[in-house]
Amino acid sequence: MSFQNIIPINAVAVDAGATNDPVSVKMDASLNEIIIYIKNLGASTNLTVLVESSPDGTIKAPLQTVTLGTTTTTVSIPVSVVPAFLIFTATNGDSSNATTYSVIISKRA
Amino acid sequence: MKLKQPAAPFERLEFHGDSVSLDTEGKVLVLPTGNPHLLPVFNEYTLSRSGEVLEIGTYTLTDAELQYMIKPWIALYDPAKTVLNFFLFTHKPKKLQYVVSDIVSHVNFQTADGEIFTTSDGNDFLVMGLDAYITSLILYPGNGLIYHGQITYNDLTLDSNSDLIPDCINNFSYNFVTHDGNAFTTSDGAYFDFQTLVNGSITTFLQSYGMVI
Repeated sequence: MSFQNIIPINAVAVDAGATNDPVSVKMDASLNEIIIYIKNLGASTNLTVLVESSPDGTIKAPLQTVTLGTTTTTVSIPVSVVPAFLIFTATNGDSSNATTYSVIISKRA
Repeated sequence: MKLKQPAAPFERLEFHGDSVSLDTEGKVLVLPTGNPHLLPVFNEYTLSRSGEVLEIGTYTLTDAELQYMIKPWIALYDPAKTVLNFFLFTHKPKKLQYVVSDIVSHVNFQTADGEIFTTSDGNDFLVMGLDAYITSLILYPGNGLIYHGQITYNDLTLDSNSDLIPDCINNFSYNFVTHDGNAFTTSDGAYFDFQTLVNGSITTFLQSYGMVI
């Protein structure tokens, strides 16, 4: 067995003061436990990413909310029961600095 | 019980007996009351009490204080860090205790004019300091359950609307405003408010669980 990473969101831009459209990621049915890593790659001092779970990509329930900056740039979120879909919505609360962010899903394969 | 990072969104605290004692390292305990005058030492207006110093001791809150909680959760965090722990109750707690004690930390030896002492070989000259923290939280669930969750928030002291409630536990609501700056109002003159989930606030995040918890 080994660890594998899925990178569903790779350096996606979030304009200053903007909220991106939600990004829906379909999860592999064989997954059980994962760790989601979210990284703020740019200069935003206030990047909020809402992670939601969904059974069908439409119905949503909040799973976790994280707010990153330039000192706290990376967060890990353990998820013990993997949903059918994960939905990521990024909001850049910094009205001066655009940024990019990535999401890495680490799983044991 | 040592706190570990729980799985999202939160995990049930499993324990035996009528209470659970949690090892913590926090500075600010929040019991949301919705009113700056109710439980001023514990309410969400934490920035109005930022100058207060924790005193060593064991403190007990009973129904006399806890009755003013308007939300079924409490939060504990260190403003200097970036992690906020929250605890959800299925039944409003009637008792809660916390212990404040000193934690040893190492700090640089610094003169009054800000110069940091170093040794002759260039290493930092560290001294042991004591800092008071909430080191233990004893929760009594009563007839209900307790869940533990944790969020990361980059700046736990940020207060973008200057209402003395830090953004991480604020309950933002926005007026619906047209392009020319006029606010929508209803037929009886009230503002048409909406809230957004994507602001990182633990209050907004947990509101969606209000029907479940």
